[in-house]
Amino acid sequence: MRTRSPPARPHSAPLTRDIAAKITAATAELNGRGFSESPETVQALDFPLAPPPDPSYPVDDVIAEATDLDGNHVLLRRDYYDGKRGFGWDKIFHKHGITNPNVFNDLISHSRPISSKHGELIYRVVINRAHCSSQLGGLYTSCDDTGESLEMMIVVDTTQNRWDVPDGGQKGVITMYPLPGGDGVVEVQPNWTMAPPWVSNNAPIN
Amino acid sequence: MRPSTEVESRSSAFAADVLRNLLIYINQENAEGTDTFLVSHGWTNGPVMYLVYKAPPSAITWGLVRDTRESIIDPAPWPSLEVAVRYYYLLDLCENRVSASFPHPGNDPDVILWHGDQSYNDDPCEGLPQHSADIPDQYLYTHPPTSTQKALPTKSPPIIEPRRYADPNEPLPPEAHSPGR
Repeated sequence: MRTRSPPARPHSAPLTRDIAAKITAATAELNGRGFSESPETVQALDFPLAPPPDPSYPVDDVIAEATDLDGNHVLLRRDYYDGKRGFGWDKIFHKHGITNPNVFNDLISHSRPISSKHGELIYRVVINRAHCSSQLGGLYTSCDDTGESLEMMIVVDTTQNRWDVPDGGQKGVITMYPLPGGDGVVEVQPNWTMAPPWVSNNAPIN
Repeated sequence: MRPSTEVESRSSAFAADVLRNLLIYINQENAEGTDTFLVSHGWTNGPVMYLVYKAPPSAITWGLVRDTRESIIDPAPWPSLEVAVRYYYLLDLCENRVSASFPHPGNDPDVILWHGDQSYNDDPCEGLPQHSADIPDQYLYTHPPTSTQKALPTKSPPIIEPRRYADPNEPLPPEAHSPGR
């Protein structure tokens, strides 16, 4: 895994102010909570991020990596998102409101692709929200599904030795987003879904 | 042929190839029973591709307009026709689906919602047809009858146990974990 670069400086905003406000509102609850292991070096950056051609932007940095149940090794690179174009972590974070890369680790490592063609892997994983409580004075813990559920789609390009990735590795995750219609999934506008905060805040229990 | 004309010719040919292969790709994916896209019209104008379609269960008519000279992932040309087709399908069509309950922003279901390089939200979409009836018949797309009826060798999708997420501030069971530990 390559050394992570510090977060790059934000640049000017190409998106409209009202859309940025919607994102801010939708992600306002995200600070301070999350998976029990906090990604200290992967911080929330100011919105939006710098797209290429800024050569200083660390697009190829590996944010996380995971291996699925079929043995496919998948990288999550920082990449970029300029409001209309991009892929990888920056797009997942800024467009789809998934602010914790451990969600990627968890979903990939507990699933297998539903499709695998020409190095392109597609995953669809359901996440059920659960509520846990102590029973019998703390003797054990019981968890019940709350009924809230959504499905995440992940698109990965594992093609190696490509000209557009300097280290010769895979491009990795292209996108990861919640399918519309899931509980708590916000359809900000047509063609744009955002995950509810609990997806990034909560911890996997299975 | 002058160099600029050659470039334009290649760009136009690439756009036509993208559209032709994207329609084939859509039919194949429709036949596999994944996300269904019903294309009603498709055409190119120079390097630009136009696709008008519906994505059931939503009743909205969508229009995709893309200059195929540039990738929608990287600020560079597409590395190949295959990659272009794949990501127009996966990102422009699949990632951009809306739920059945999502209302038409203009409250007029007959108005095409253009997205891609021109958006109904950003500009008036000058030069783009606003209704399917405005599109010349020559751009009408008819699904090939054999593609949806042909039995494709599909395998059952893997059974993947749903993930369960709980509030870490609540008492969690011992098996609760964080990826990477």
